[in-house]
Order: sequence, then structure tokens, then C-alpha cells
Amino acid sequence: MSTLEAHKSEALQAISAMVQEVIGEEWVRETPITLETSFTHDLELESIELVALSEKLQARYGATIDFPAWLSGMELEQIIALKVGDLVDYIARCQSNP
Amino acid sequence: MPVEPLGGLKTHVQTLGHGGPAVVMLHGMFIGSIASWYFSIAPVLASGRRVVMYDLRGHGLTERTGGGYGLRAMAQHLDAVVDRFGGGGPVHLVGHSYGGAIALRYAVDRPGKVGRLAVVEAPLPVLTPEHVEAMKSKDGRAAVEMMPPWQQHAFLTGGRRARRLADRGIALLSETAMVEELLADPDIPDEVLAAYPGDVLLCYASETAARMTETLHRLARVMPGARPRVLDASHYLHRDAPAALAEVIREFLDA
Repeated sequence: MSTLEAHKSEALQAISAMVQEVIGEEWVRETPITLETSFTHDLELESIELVALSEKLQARYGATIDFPAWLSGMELEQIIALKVGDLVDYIARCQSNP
Repeated sequence: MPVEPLGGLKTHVQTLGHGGPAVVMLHGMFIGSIASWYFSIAPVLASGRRVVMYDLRGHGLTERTGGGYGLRAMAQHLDAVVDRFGGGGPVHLVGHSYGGAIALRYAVDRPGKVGRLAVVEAPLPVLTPEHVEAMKSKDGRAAVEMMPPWQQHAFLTGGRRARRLADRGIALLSETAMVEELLADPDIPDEVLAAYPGDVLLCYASETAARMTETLHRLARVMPGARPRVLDASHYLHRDAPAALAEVIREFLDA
């Protein structure tokens, strides 16, 4: 596995655990979270929950990533369409090119 | 989760960035929360500055109480946030809508604690009986139409987010005295506004309700330090025109 692939696989696991913690409801533990899972359509994450996710990402990755700046650079449609895989790619990219 | 008691209220606070006097940002009513700023212009302002955002009483993850939603009580809560996170000196304030009215109330009552004041699309008075009537209208359609498009989408698709959004709005309307308190809230008299010594950015939208535009005209007329700016956007400037709004506020803070 390349370094990038290893980063991606690690990020997917980490994000899945964070999302489950943030939502904190029974159903989400039984929902498989994949690269194709949409934050808005599948998980129905609220914006205030995205803030909580951001906090967890910062605790784990520190200054390697800047989640709020990344999201604030997007159009509304892009944020609505955002998938777990987009965040995984972003984190892996930041880790590979620090 | 950074939730701590401030001014007797369990308060959700988030900060971004470092350096300079703190910029405290206040969001709007009902659908507003830290997220309103956090994913729009706060990351831009946080370059070279410490940005402090908090959820207002009864909003986001901050405690909901039965009362205390009038501008003076809300400004009291803001004062606790300023004392805890302001870094000792005067802070800059940026407030949208209801949050802008709270920031204005705070600034005229405690001018020594405020550096630059940016009021974004704030109405005075915050609520009018006609506005409340629309919110409480039986079919709820008027209330939904008052939401920005992305919230309408969440609301009308009827899932988990819609339920949570509706639950919080209904709780604020039915379990608190927010509406009654704001309808009875004393106006800020012209002479008090006129006595404010600092500069005030009045950032308003071109496509907004008449009561916002009337407020802009009144504040621009009576406040000597008024700097009116109108951006091409709806009431939700931070969503419609984040880059323009960030630029206007950044220029004002740095001037």
C-alpha cells in the first residue's frame, strides 16, 4: 500500500468513528460509513455537528489540516454534495504534502 | 466540546486563529449558530486574528432558558464571554441580525470594552408583531419561506436535520419568553446611539426586508461614526456573498 493509500484508509476509519460520536444516535452505529457516504443526504449532519466534527479533526490532525478554511472555500452546493471520500482525500493530501 | 458556564449559562464557544485583539462574532436568531460564521467568513478573519464565536442563549449547543432574550440580558451574556475570552483589552464585535442588535446594545452601554463594531443586517426593533404573526402562521409556510434556501431544503426534505431544526425553533417559540421579551424590549433611543463614540460598520443587504433597510437608514443618520455599506445579497450575506462580506469587515477592522 502506498503512503497515500495508507493515509486514506486511516482517515476513513478515524472519520467514521468521529461521525458516530458526533451524531451519538443508535442508527449510526449500524450504518456503514464508506467513501461514498454523503454528510448531508445519508448522515443528515447538521451544521452545528460539522463544527463538532471539525473540533475532533483538529484534535487529531492539528495544524496539518484546516477543515473550516477548506469548507468555507466551497459553494453551498458543494457542501451539500460533500462525501466522506472528499474529506478523506483532503486529509490524505494534506498529510502527503505538509 | 468546549461548553462552559459563562454568566450563569452553559455556553458553547469556539475560537479560530491567533493574534491581535479578539473578534467576537454573534449569529442570528433561530437557525443561527456558531456554524453560521465558522464555515463562512470566520476562517478568513482568523488569518492574523483571534476569532471567538459562541452560541447565543437557546441556540446551537448553548443552554436554553425560559427567559433572558431581551437585548440587555443577551448583552450581559456577551459581557461574560468578553471577560473570559477577550484577552483583557477591548474586543471587536461582529453581529448578524439579532446578534448585530445585541452587539449594538452592548457597545452603546459599554463603549470602553469595544474596539471596532460591525453590525450586519440588524433590525431595530428585533421583532415586530407582523413578523411574529408570520412565524406563527398556521400552515407554517410563511415561516419556511423566511428561511434561507439551504435551510428550506433541509426543512422540506423532512429528515433528521429538518426534525432537529423544527424542534429547536418550536422550543424557542413555545417554551421560552423570547418573543414576548423582544416585543417588549425597549428601543435604543436616538440620543444614546448618537453618543456612541466609535466607528460603526453598517453592512446591509440589497435584497432584504424593509425593516432592515429602515434600520440602516436610521443608524446611518443618527450615529456619527456610521460607515454604511450595502452588498448585493439577501439577509444571509455570509452565505450569499461571503468573500465580499469578509473583505468589507477585514478592511474595517484594520482601518
